[in-house]
Amino acid sequence: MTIKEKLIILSDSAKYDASCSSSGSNRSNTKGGIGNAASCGICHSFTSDGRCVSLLKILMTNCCIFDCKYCINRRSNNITRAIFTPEEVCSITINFYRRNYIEGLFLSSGIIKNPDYTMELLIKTIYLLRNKYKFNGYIHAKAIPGASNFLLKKLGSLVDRLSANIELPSNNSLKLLAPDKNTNKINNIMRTIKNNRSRSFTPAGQSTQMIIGGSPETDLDILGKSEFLYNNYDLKRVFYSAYIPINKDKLLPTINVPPLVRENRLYQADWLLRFYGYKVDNLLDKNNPNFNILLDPKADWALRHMNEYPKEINKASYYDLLKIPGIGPKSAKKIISSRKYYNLELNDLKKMGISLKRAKYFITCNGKYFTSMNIFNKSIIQSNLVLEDKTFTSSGVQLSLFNE
Amino acid sequence: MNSIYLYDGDFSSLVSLIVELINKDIVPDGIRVINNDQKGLFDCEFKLDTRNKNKNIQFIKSKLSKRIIGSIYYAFLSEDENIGNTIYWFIKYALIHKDKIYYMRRLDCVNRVIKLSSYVSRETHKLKGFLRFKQMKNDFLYAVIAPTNNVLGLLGNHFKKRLSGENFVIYDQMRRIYLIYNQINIIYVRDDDLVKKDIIISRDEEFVEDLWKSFFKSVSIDERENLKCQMKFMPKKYWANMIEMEDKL
Ligand code: SF4
Repeated sequence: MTIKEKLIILSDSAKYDASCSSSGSNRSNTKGGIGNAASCGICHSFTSDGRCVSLLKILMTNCCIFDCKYCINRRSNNITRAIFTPEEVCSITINFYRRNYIEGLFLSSGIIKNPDYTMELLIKTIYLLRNKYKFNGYIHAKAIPGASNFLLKKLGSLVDRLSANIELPSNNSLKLLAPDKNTNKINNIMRTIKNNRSRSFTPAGQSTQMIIGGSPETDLDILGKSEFLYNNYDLKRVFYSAYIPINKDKLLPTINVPPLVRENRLYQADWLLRFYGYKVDNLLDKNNPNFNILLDPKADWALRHMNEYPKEINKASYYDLLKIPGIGPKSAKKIISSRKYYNLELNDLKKMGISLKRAKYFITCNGKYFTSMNIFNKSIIQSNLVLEDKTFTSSGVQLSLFNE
Repeated sequence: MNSIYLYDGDFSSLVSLIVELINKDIVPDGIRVINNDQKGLFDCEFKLDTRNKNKNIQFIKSKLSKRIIGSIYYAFLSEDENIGNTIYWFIKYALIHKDKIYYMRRLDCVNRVIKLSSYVSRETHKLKGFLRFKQMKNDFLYAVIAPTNNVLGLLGNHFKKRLSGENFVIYDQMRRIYLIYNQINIIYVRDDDLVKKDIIISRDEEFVEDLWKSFFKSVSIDERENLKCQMKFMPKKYWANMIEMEDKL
């Protein structure tokens, strides 16, 4: 098999992993070495589905002894199998990196022979890359569930980020769809990473991924799980990946289009958890366990709490400003610093580069609403916001809305 | 008559000229680069003494924060038509208000400097990703860019850190300038002054480019295709110099 054929097979099987970012590490180049890790992520290209290409995302091998129902590489699938040698991975990485195609390497793997054997293969490859090729760029590796703690620690000391995919939001679904994996093994990896993290051990921290729509959990279950992970294991990111029907299996749902809008809403809500001080039970509850697919979670929340609005731009606290749809931490900080010098008008906000498209319905500037107060009415605002929602206008996924 | 003041074209000359003008209490109608053909019918051009250049630069460094000087420098790289005047007013206010100036966006010069500098830093960030090197025969890497802003130097610094053990050349097509790094220094050479016989692509290059294109194609997920989104993040003007996109133009 040529190296090109291997690359096509082993990148094709790796692409469903959603994590791509390369930020958060600050490794500098060494003498005689190649590369450094930029602390803010750099995108090198964008795929035809609009995702950032930052890392050479490949599998060491797509051979696997496990049989996870949703996975293209599962044991029971009849597909062409390939395996890279460590030297091959190094050579592609270096050749791509020198030409500035990539920011670094994302190395994952199917489980070949047994977890420890697979893990050793990853370690050998990355060790070679760091020491023989003196590569100082970004490396994200996937930890193999079930491998020994000793190997896990060794791998952690070589990479910028380690991750273990939780895959499914509940133990039940995991048991059903990924019978060879178990939650304890994944939790063990996360705990070990958390306890060992330092400047020389996974400096960019850990992340994980959940598949959305492959199992029956609600948004409340999913986001609850994320909140738990952020709080207990210091995760940097939880990635959500809309379930794409690759395999036919009676245990899997039958859908034609991946639930991309739902995925998008979860990302928006996740953002609110991490940067806006929201808690899951502010956003969802047992009677309301799923997000309104038509609106972003923050706007949806605002419309359900109309009595808290409109907020006065010149008086609202930082956290109140953050509750205004369309205003994020950056804009809120700008507002707070600027209003020390003069009372802000709508025009001043525009000049600061703050988008008023959605915000204008929820604010006053010096007591003035942007138009007649008659507009300040839940159903009018709601219909305007739905029309302006970018998830539908720019993502080209309108159709899937009706299939979900 | 419009009084137009001329400077050499580089950043320190501009800053020095502005300090002179402020010291002499002159409010110019325009500030432009020498030898540009924009002279209007009613323009009267002046050059000021440049002997105090070092002193003037020191003065600015001692009075203004790094952040402010950085913003001015980035805005300068936008090569905006009125950049001289904009920076003149910005410096004038910044000398009084210091870092508070960032909140005074009602002033046009402040708004312009912030907008232009963030445009320059956005384009630099994009090109840090989109720039593509090719391996050349004589063991150096070669890239061509066509940026709207003059970001060549900023990119050079980025790659100098990242690829310190390589020789590389970046050619700015728009300004017809080569940036050359020889594992020690960065130098600039104008298109007309460079002998180009060395710019020959290495034979293995096609093999690696082909690998990259295959990878790029295979990581796209057809079920999620969204060309609009792709274009939004990666504007078409950069495609011509990106090997995975050139044939899509
Ligand atoms: S362990 Fe499961 S998810 Fe991972 S490659 Fe094997 S079958 Fe796929």
